[in-house]
Amino acid sequence: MRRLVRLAARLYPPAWRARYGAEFDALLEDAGAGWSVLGDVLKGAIIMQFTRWNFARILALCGAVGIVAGAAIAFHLEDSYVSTAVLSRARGAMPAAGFQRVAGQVLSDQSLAGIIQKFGLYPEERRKMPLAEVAQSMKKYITIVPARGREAGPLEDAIVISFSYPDPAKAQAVTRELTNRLTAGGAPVVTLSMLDAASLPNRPFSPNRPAWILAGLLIGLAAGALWVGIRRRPIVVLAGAAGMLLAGIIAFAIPNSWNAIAIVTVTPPEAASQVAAFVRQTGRGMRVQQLENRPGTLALESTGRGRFEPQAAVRQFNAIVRSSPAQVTSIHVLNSALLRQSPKAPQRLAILFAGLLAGLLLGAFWRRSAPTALSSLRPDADGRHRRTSFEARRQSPVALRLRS
Amino acid sequence: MSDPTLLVLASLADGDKHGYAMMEDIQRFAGVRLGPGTLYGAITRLEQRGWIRAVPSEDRRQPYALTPSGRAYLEEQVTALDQVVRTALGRLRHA
Repeated sequence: MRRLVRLAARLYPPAWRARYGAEFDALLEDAGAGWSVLGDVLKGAIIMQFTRWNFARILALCGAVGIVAGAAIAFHLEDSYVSTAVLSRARGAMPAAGFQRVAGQVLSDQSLAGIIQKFGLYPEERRKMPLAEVAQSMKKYITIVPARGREAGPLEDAIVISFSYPDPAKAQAVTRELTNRLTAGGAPVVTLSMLDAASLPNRPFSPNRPAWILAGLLIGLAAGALWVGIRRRPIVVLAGAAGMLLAGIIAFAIPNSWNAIAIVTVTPPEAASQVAAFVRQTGRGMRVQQLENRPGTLALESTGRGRFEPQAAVRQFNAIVRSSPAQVTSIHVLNSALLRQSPKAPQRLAILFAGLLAGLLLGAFWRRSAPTALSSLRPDADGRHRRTSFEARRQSPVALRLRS
Repeated sequence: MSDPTLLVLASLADGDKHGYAMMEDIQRFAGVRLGPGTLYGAITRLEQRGWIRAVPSEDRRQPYALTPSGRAYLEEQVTALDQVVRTALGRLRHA
């Protein structure tokens, strides 16, 4: 045990050993050896190592720990494969409500329970919970959405169906089943045709392991910087944290604002300005702008407090135009108003960051402009520590502890 | 009271001591057995702050002494603690 304790004492930083090593060894001889002594010496060595490490070493250590933690999480998570199919609906043949009804039937608990049993999905979950609950939780792995953005291209009536599962073959089989059921469920009222059959994924969609490892590294570095900051500039870091907290309160007190944007082309193009003027008058706050380089093309934007209101408002554009005096022969939707995943405003991350920055700056300014008697604790030219009685009165125990 | 730095300062208040003497003294008056790592962590911090200093010695056991600033700090701390103790005792008697 003595040997172990002596070995543990070697773990102190060399500079510390050079100053205190001999007397510390003498103390260890006097104090005897035991598990508690060994633990105490090891703890002291670790603390002393961290105390003496410079910023770069602490950052490197925290970054390495972050990488290891991120990798551990990334490799612990189960692979998930996504199979995707694309269906096309005949334009005008199926109103949105009709499609929603069909999708609702396909995604009902009863329908999904049938799929689960047919393909033997989620065996472990089925042992722990009723089938209806498994079907309910399966829904979050299924997406049925209109094709959007670049993906849509000219196929504005395309619908993307995807399903994620740890087994790629089963992911494909279920996606194929879902598309079959959608097609069959819609007929004969709704005509859906296959544009792209259910794919067989050859690589997992998630977890994104490099992203997890990178996130671990970044969180580790941030934690290291915070740690060093608190140790060396506690006032500045605490002011930054207070600023961020205050900004967070403000950011979350501001109500959400949602918007929806659509791009449409009206024919004939000459009618666009007349339509725009009419929408401005009657469009219940909808903003409309004519695109300069594209004759007859209008950008429509609606803003509201609710997530769904702006989208609904923009989608009423057709009805508004039909009631306008403009002689519009057709309206072609270039980009339909999609439902936003997050509010347009407030930009909470930006507000939080601004609060953090303002807090850090204020803390730094305060620290520079109001130096305390702490500086008097630095050694004099002759290496001694002296304080005047005035400084001694000014120096509060709290300030001293913060410095430590 | 289990703050090692305060215990070390209190131990040195009645004279110079080396590490093992401090451990024994602290155990006697406070009932706390500081481990060697904890004790020398406190000694390192206190010396860096200028509250204790090493006394020249030929022995491997290095004695330490309180500095005036260390004594002032200890007085502040003890006065504050004394106020707390008096208040608590007074309240307990009247409760």
